[in-house]
Amino acid sequence: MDFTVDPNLSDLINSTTHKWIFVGGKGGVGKTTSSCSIAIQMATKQPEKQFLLISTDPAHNLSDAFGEKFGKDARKVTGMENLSCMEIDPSAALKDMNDMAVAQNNSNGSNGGLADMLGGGGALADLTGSIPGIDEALSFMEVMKHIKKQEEGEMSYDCVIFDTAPTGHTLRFLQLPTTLTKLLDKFGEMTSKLGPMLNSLTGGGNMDLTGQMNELKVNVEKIREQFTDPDLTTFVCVCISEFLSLYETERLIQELNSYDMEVSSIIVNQLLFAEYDEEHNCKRCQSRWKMQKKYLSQIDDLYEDFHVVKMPLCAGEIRGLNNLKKFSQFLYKEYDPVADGKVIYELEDKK
Amino acid sequence: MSAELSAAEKQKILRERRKQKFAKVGGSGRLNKIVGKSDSLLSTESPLDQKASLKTSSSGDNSASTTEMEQLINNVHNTPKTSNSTKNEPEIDPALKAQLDIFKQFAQQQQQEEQFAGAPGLNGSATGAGAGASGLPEMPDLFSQLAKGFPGADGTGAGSGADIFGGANPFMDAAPMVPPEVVQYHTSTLNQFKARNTFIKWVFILLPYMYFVTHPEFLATLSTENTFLIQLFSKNNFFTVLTTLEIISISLYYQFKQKLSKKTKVTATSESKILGLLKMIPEGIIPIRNLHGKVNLVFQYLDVFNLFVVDLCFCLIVMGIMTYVHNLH
Repeated sequence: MDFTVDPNLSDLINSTTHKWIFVGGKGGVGKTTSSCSIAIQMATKQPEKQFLLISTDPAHNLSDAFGEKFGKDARKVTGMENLSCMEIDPSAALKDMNDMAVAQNNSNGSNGGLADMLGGGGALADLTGSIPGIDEALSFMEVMKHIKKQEEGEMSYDCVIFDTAPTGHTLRFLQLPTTLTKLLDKFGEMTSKLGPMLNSLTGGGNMDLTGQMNELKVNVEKIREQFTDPDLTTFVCVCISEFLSLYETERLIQELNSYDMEVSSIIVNQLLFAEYDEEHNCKRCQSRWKMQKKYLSQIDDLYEDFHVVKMPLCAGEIRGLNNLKKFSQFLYKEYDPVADGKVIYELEDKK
Repeated sequence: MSAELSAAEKQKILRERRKQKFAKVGGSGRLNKIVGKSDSLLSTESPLDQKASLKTSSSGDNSASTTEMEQLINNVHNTPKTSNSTKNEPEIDPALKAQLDIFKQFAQQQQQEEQFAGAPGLNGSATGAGAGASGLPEMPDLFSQLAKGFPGADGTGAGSGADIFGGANPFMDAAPMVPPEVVQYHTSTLNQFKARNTFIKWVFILLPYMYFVTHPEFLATLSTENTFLIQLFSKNNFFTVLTTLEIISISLYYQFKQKLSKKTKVTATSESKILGLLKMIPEGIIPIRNLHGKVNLVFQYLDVFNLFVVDLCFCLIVMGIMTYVHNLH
C-alpha cells in the first residue's frame, strides 16, 4: 500500500487520542517556538478541549515566548480560552514540600527522628534541591499528579504538551519510569526486611512506607504504559538542517525507539528557502541555503516515513501570541515558499 | 486507495515501515550514513544496537562452544611447568617431604572433587566413569591458590619474596591443574569414540560375521580354493577371529585415548576417584611399592577384559537369535 506522507502535523493536531506530546531536540533549534505553535494549533482546531503546555526546561522560555509570566501553577494564556501554560520551578516546588513537611512535623510534635536531626527538613530541602536530575524528577511528579487526576476523573486537561529541555535532560526524564521501577523494587525488598527499623529512623511517625511505595510503583507503571502507547504519546523532534543537529536528532530518535516511545514527526526549523526569495537573496543566504539543502536531502532520505515539516526562518523573533499564531499555521498546512513567502516578513515587532 | 485509509491506519502502516527500516539498516548503519558523508569523528554506536546486544547476551547458551574448549585446552598446554629444577632444589627432610606430599595430594583431590560425578561408563569401567559436572557448590580452592604461590608485596601473583619453603615450593611441582571442563570434555570425547567404535564393530563386522558363521550353507557355496574365507567363517576359528578383532579395536581405542590425553593433559588419576585416593597415600606407609601404578595397571586390564566380555556377550546373543531363526526356517 503506497501513499505519501503528509509534510505537516495535521494528523497530530487533529488527533483526539493523544494525551502526551513531547517536543524536544538539541539546544537552540526552536523547541519552545515549536511546542507553543503545536499547542496553539491544537487549541485552535479543537476548541472544545483543554490543553496544557508545560515547560520542563530549567531555563524556562514559555513566559518569553508568549510575552507573559507563567508560574508553577497552570494559568490560561491571554487570548486563548482552552490553552494554559505552566513552568515548573524546582526550588519553589521543593520549598512547598519542605513547608508541608515542617508543618506536619510541628503538628505531630518532635519525635527525635531523622527530620528533626536535619533541622526540621530545611537542610534536607537545600540538599535535595541541588541534586542533578531533580528538575526532571519534579516534572515527572507533575505528570504523575495529572495521571492520578485522570484516574480519578478530575483531569482538567485533555492533552499535555511538554516543552522539554535539551536532549540529555529529556532522555533522563523519559528513563525515570524504568529507573524508578527498579529502585522501588529494590527498596521494597529492603523495607520488607528493615521496615520497623526504618520507621524508627524516620521519627516513628505512622508512615506506611510499603503502602506508599506500592502506590508510587503502580503510578509509575501506569505512566510507563501510557508513554509507550503510540496512540497516547508521541515525541516531536525539532532540528535544523545542519550536520550536528541531524546527528543529534537521529541519536535522539534511536534512543526514544529503545524506550519504545513513538516518534513520527520531525520539524526542520530555520530554513532559508533562498532560491524562492528573489528580493532578499544575498550571497551568504545562498551559500547557507545550499548547505541546508544538502542536509535536507539526507533528512528526506532517512526520514521517508516520518512527517517532516519544513519551517522557514523568519525575519524577526517569533514572540507573542500573534506571531506564534502566524508561524504555527505552517505546522497544519505546509509552508509554500512562493505563496507564503511574505508572511515571514509580517511578524510584529515586540516592543 | 490512500483516501480510504483512516489517519489511525496510516499511522499504523507508517509505524511498521519505520520499524522495518530501522531493523534492516540498524542504528549504527543509519548513524554511519550521516557521519560518513561529513567526514566526522563522532561515534556511530547506536543505543538500539546496545539494547539488542544486551538482549542476546542475557539469553545466550551457557555450554562451552568448541572454540572455547580449544582455548581451555590451549591454556592447559600453555601453563608453564612450574617445577623448580633439581639443581636449585635444596634437600628437604624426608618427614617434611611426606607431609608436603600429603598436602599436595589434598590439593589435587580438591580439584578432582569438583570434577567427579560418579556416572558409570558404557561398560562400567573405572576409566569410563563420567567426570561430568559435579553438583558440589564451588568452594574457594585454598590449596590450589597455595599451589600457585603466595602473592607478592604488590598483591599480584606469586612473589619470590614470600616463598616460605626457601626457594623450593613443592606445591609448584604439581602437574598443572586441569580445569574440570577439560576433564569433562576428555571423558565425553572418549565415550563418544567408544560408542562409535562399538557401533561400527557390532553392526558392520560382528553382525555379518555371525550371520555367515551361523549359516553353514554359505561355506558350501565357497570354492575350495578360497581357503582364507573358509577358514575365516569356520566355527572352529570363531574365537581366534574374535580375539583378533578385539585386539585391533582395543588398540585403536587406546591409541585414541593416548592422543587425547596428550592434548588435554588429563591422566588416569584425574579421571578415577580410587586412583586419586591412592595417590594421596605417601610412599612407605603401605608395604607395596608403587601401589598407585599397580592399581592403574589392574584397572587397564579390567578395562580391556570388560570390552572383550561385552563383545562376546553380543556375539552369543546374536548367535542364539540367528540360530533360532535359522532353525525355524
